[in-house]
Amino acid sequence: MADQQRKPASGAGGRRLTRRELLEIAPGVGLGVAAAGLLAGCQPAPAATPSTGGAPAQAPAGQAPAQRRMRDVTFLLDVTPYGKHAFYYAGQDHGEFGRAGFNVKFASAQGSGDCVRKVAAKAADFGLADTGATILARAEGAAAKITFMTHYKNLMSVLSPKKNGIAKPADLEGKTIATTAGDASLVMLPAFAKINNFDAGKVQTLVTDFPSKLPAVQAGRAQGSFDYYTSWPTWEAAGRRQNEEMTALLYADYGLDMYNNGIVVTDDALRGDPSMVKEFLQALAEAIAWCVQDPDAANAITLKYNPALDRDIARRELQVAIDFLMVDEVRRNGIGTMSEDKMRTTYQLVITNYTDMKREVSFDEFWTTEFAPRGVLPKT
Amino acid sequence: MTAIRPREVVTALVTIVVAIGLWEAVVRLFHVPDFLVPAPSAIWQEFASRADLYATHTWITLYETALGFALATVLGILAAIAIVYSRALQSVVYPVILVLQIVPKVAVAPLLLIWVGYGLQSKALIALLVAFFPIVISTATGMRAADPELLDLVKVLNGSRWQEFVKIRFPYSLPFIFSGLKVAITLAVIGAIIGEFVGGNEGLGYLIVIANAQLRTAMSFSSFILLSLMGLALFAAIVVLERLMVPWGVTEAEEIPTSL
Repeated sequence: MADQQRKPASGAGGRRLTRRELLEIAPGVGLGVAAAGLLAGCQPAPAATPSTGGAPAQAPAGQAPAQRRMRDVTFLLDVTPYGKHAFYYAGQDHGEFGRAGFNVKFASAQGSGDCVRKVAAKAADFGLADTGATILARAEGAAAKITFMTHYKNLMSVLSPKKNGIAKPADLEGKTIATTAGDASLVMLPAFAKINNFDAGKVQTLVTDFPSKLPAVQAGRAQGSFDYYTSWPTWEAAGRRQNEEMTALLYADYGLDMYNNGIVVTDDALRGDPSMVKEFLQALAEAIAWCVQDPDAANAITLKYNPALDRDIARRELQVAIDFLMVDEVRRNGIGTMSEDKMRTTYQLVITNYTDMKREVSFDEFWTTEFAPRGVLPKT
Repeated sequence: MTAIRPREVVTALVTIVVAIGLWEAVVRLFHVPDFLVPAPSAIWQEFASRADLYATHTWITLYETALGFALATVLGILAAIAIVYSRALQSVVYPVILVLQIVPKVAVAPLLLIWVGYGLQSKALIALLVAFFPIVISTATGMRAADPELLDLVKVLNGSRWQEFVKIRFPYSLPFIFSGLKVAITLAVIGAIIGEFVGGNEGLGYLIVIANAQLRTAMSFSSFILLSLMGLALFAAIVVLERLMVPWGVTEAEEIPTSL
């Protein structure tokens, strides 16, 4: 057998490779093929920013100037998309972004903290993140600011089946509540407890991932769940399927109102290209105003980007986002604007309740009103 | 038995120290933000400030891993015996094992936690499911690798199937079983962590989830490093056990390079 390997049979046309020689050169050939494949796949993309050319294919005909220089931007959603995110998708398909010269691509983070980190690391140009998470991220060195508000009334809540008896804040004592790590509603629990005279230490928590919260409660592993009220339509629908009434305990109804999610941008971008940020936020405000005017059409855009969502539930989630957007402050000043009073309340609540912050974050360093437009409102 | 040479140990240690030094230098020189990549000194500081916390959670993950691995070993070897000794069982058991392996545990983990609970048992179960397959395959392969002439000899001497198993098949399969165990122990660690990522209030995976939510990257890194050290220690334990139980298998493997 060894002899056969050393003396290959000669055939017409020259010497044939032995099996040993084939085995020796195979790794080299394989690596070469893999490298060639990688190089072919890694052809440099056409220059990302800026690009010339027509408006994105989805923009309605006749809306965007054909030869406008378009800027590619990435918008990072806070979590996996659902109904409330119509506010951000709308501008791309309805044309507000295109008219302002932006071609927006969307991606999702895994929570507000992750979103701020990724924006600060310049993996995205704009992000949707909670104000509290932005303050915390700032303390950890992520140089990004809140520039525009979208969730004005506090969405933090505890959702539960009515039969579990969580009707008022004090009912939380002795219960196990499902939560994700770093859930804003959980972080603010001590403040909520203080205002409503119950002991936060008597509330047990069950940490799980976001999609497992509702199933964990349905399986009896927890009696309720911390969540944003934008998840209420999903809970209500799940309750109807099981013939079970659900209930929601909103922090805002019991004395704890604060800003939630807004648009974060890096300090560098605010310094380096302020006009770009202003133009984008102007377009965003106009797109959100259109969503409030025509929520059914806006919902249809969300479904286009996320066909797996339930249309009816997404529409109701969007309605929650609209109801929590169109508060008195917004009707006075416009979509996206922020007031110092409410931001100070928010700031005080956060720095009191986020323990173990690496450093003190000053009031002025995590937000700015210089870039959001004023007076943008839905047409009535 | 060949001992580990001191020169190899020194080289490895020096490489690690140099790598850590370079990491520290790069982070400081380029002012890399802490929330992206913390310096080794920051990681050490984080660990030292809460060593008790890390010890508690490491012990929990270790328990889940060891329990899952032990069950996977027992059940895996039994399943392999069933496959090798019974054609009927092979046709029933083998497809089930394959399906269990192919279904991604990351997708199934949330359901398992809801069915079994959010405590240690569900994490051990996931560790079992992940570690099971390599043990079955390596054991079955080893048992089928027994020298056919020796199996014939047992028949000629009127030996029972039990004697054939105890005296021939099982000893022959030990080097293969240990190959499977070495792969399985690392997978068991991964399985336990998958469970902790999905839910629960304990373990190094839980610490990593909390650290990510709070942007405390030094805490994440401390947990990763402890997890790696735990995995290495478990792997080393299997290697030591192999040297004790299969001295002939290890000796042969180490002789091969010198005979070429």
